[in-house]
Amino acid sequence: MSEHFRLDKGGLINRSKKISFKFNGKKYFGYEGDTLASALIANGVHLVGRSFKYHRPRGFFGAGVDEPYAIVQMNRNNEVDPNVRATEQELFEGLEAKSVNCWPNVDFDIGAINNFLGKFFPAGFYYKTFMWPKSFWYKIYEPIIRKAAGFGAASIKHDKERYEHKYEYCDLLITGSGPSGLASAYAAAQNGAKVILAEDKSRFGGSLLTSEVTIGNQSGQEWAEKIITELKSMPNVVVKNRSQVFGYYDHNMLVMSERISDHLPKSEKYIPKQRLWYIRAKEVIISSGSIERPLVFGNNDIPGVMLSSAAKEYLKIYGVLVGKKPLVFTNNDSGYETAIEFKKNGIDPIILDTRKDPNSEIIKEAKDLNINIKLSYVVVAAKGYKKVNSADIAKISEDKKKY
Amino acid sequence: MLHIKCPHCGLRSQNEFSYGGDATVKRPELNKDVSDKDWDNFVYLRKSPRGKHLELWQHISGCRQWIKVERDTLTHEIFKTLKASEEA
Repeated sequence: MSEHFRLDKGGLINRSKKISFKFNGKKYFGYEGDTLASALIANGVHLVGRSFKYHRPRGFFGAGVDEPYAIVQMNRNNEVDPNVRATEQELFEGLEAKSVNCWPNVDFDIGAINNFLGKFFPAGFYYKTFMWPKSFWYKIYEPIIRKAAGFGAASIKHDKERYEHKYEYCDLLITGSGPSGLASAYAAAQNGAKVILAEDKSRFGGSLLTSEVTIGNQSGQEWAEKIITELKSMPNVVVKNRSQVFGYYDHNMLVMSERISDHLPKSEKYIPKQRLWYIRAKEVIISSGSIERPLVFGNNDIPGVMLSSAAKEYLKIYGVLVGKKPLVFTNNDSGYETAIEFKKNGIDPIILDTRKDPNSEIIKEAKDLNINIKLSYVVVAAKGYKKVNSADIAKISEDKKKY
Repeated sequence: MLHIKCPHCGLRSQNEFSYGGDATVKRPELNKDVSDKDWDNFVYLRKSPRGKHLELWQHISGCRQWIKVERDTLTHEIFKTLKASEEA
């Protein structure tokens, strides 16, 4: 299958190394440096799962740890791994994953009938309905309910992987390797402090990788690379990627999970799959950046509706278009960055901005690029079922009494 | 996890210590008549203060000494640590 949504150039993926993988039994191709999510989007696959109760179609919403929808069942080295975020799983040769919470398959899911029967499931439905007849419980109700509950299926085999944990002490722990994280790590390290720099993703640089900035006379990305190389050469600095700091406890005790082998087809001998770090830091800098907050409108859970920051990340890092007719709905300037990226790659976006009369440099830039901007407009509802195909939009009325 | 400064060993993690309760409780004096109420007070009744609290800890995986720790029960801030023999 060809990659219709992959751009001819751009992105930080290694285009010289093609990788094949399977999703729901079907074979696809991606490149080294892809995540499962970016490779699937490149292949035009947006339907990856079903929602918990009503089995509504689910696609990709974010591009990283914030992903709420694209949760898949992984098969790696003959072991199953449930509830893996497709946006976090890096692609490796022979990766196999499948959708969860759907039967017989994600495209045709019998459970989706709940979506139309929702009216008949009021609060308390389960408690009242499954009471009688009493003899039905063990043979009929319970097995069906158990089958319907939960997303991924846990492995019933003994886990043969190695997991380690270790203690570490440092003067400064920095979570996130964006511009502020890198700058503070560099400054502290040059003054001789013992520094641990943790980055959740596989690539260092954070927002520098997706935004058009220059630091000094270098691009943000080059600057990040230079700083990271220098930090790695310093003996007083520990630089870790694929390491998520997920807990901050009393007296600066932090916990970090390092994913050592999750991105490899199988763990090397004597190398653990994951390592848990207990870090006692003197000082902590949380430079994790922020996660974009979604806007609310009807059917904003349809596959194809996603965060604009995620769309930008797929474009800039993976060279993947999340769609060919993007509609950017925003209430601030960040949506314009995404729209400009699309425009630069030959795609015509439409921007809907809730603001009446916004003014800034980036808006001017968007206007100069002839991007269609509709001010004081909102999305009322997205349309489509398995993939968004249109949206109802409306102008905000001047007097707010009427709709 | 708390970071407690043992007066004998230095800063160590909480999981090296075990908690020994309120350090201000005094045992009734020996060889004297003690009322049931006083025994009850000594054995069972403890205050549960919100704020500064002087408590006993044993450095069980270290020097095995009992120490006194003045800790804020709300913020877990540790103000000072003393040897068990020292008065706060």
